[in-house]
Amino acid sequence: MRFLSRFLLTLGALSLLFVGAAQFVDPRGDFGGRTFPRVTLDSRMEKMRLFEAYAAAGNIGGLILGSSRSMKIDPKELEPWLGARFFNFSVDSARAEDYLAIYRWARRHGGHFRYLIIGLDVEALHDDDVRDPRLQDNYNLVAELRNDPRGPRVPDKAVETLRQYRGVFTATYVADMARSVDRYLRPTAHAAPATDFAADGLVHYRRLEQERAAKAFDLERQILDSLPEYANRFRGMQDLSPTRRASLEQVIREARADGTTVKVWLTTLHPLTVRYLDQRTSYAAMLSRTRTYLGALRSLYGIDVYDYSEPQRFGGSLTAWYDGAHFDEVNARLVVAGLAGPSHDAGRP
Amino acid sequence: MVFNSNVFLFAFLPVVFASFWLSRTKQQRYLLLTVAGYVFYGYWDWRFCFLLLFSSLVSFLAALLIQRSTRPASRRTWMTLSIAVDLALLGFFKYYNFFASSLHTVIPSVAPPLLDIVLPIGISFYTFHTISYIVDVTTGRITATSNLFEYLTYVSLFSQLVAGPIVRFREIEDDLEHIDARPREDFMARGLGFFVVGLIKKAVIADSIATYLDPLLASYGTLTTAGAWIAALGYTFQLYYDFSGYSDMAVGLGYLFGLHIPKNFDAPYRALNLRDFWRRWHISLSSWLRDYLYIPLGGSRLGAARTNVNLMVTMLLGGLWHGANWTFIVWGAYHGVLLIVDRALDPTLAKLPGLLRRLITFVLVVFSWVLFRSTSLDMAGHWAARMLGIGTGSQSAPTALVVLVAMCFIAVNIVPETWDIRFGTRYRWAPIYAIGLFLAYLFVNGRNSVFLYYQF
Repeated sequence: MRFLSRFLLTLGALSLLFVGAAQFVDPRGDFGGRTFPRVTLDSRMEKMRLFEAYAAAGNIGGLILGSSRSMKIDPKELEPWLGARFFNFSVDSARAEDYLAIYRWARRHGGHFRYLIIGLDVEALHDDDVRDPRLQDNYNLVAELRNDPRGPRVPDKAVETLRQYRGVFTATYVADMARSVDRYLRPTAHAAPATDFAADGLVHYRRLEQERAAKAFDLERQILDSLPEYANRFRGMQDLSPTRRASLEQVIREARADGTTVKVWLTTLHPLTVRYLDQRTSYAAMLSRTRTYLGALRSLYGIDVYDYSEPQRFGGSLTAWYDGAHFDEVNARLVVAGLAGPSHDAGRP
Repeated sequence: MVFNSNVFLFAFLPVVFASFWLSRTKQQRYLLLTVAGYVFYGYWDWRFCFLLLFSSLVSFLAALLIQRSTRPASRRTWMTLSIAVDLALLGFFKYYNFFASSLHTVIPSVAPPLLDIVLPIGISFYTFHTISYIVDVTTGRITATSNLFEYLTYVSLFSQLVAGPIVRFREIEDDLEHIDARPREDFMARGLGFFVVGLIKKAVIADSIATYLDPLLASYGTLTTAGAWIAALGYTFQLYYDFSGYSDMAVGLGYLFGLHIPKNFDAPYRALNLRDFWRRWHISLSSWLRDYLYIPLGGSRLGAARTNVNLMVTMLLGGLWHGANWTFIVWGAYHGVLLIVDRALDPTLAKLPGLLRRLITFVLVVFSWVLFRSTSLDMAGHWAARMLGIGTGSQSAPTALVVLVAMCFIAVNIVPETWDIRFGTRYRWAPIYAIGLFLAYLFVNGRNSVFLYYQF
């Protein structure tokens, strides 16, 4: 068994060395490393950090939830309309359970909200009921879904730590380590990070903004590139998930019990994306069901709902977009103006 | 459970491996491997363990009855009954809905009810294991074992349970009889070598191709001619590296437990003709079909016309074995026709230069994989039409896929097959295997990928 012993010893030593290197370089900011630059962003983790800092600087009176499609809703634009200091807690690929987990976590960390604005994607109610891995790996948020008043438990932390270390053993992590080291060694040779967040959670698409400024931005290409990903999101969606509807309604109930005004808006897709999805997926049927469902929620809970699933519903532009699903600040401003008013025809056929 | 999952690599395999070598007697090891096989299988859906056990018990008892029968007629009766049970299970779970809906299509007035049936994973493989065992006992090639756990170990051996290779009892009988042997250093080294190479083939090559290929094929209707060719070539290599990777891992796992699992691939894309291809691709299936179907049908002994019929029947059933879909039946028919043509034109084709014959064979095989990968004949028709320049499309293949396809084309033609690698068995080689496993794992981790042949 000498062969096997040596094999296992080498494997163990290699793994330890690798973990040490990963922790030192820390390209994703998982271990609190400061030496090398971060090259990727976990929006859930990042916004939790930002929220705590933002809450420490003053009371947060309004919370914006949603996916990346809501990230351009500018808290500062909402403030004059609704008279509250907002934080945009939209996170990538948010599903209904993300809203619930984030709302509870934000409440626990000092938020007393007068307003809760939820940008609801149709696929946030996908009946696959599969949690996003970035939520699943976030023990603080997962603990909120159990509604455990003591917060995360020791086993959760242990599991999370193990997951964190297991997560470094991937080819993409190695690539991120290499990019991080490269950026450290040649800081001037790299473009700005693709995305970052302001202190209030507002997203900035740095690279795309630079391309726009340089008149090198090709919207049509961006839309075409994003289409397959969006078709993939609706793959297998047959109905609105009862579990996810329950999560959404739970957020609404808890917010209403806190005396919070809840506004839910159906997020927007570019018409080209809608056409692509209509040809390949159940999007049209799912959108129709979501509209009906939102109408029922309005009647049941007295919330404001807004159907902004198409730009023309808020007078939006077809060119003020970054790709087939993410509009820019021009359209975002129009949505904000709409959200300041009463419900806008969701649930009405 | 799949070989490239964390639960297999970090829990199942270490526990079973350590328990196996810590146990001493044959019976302990049979029992351990049987339990391990059922845990491995039941991890997917425990209910189907009963089906596996039932199928195993029927063939085990039938083999003992055959062994004890002195009259050929009664031996044949027991054999027929046992095979009928196996085929009935396979037929019900795998083909009932297909035949019911096909019947309704042909005769609209007949509408058999469609059932909500889940296809038990690996049923096609373990059914072939039990059938080969029964036939071999009946024909006297092997003696039926009276040790139930030895037989259960054979059928439920986790290394080849769900996707082959289709191992015949006689091929590992000797190893099973000596399962209480002490561990051998060279087996460990070879086992790790095969396993690591298989994992690299699957995780690094096949899964990387799939990353680009699956989105491309999601909109196959818009492919350009070049895009359609790259997609077909991409699948050609994905399937090879996926399945031969799986087979290598199975062989490696066999070695780790002191068992010789037979070769399943032998550089198939270097075949000179279709017959040669089938001697190199999924060898355990093609030889099974030859020995238990083609030869009993008469093989090539009954004249040219009957040989052609036998070839066609064998390939059609071989196609159907892969799945209850018309695409597989047409795929089988395509190979049947090509094998017949190949036999007829062999004297002429043999005069062509070797490289040209290889290329022709390769292109014919690539077209067959279009049928194999397509989810419907409509998809296969569109895809193949685009390859032939019929119709227009705008979707080209991503550059990364083109590069991968080019690299794979070179690799399948010049890189040695895993069985041709002389794995170093001295302990100084151990770090090399460890580094290989470590690098392969970087591609495994975080991906939720199953083997393509699990669906069959």
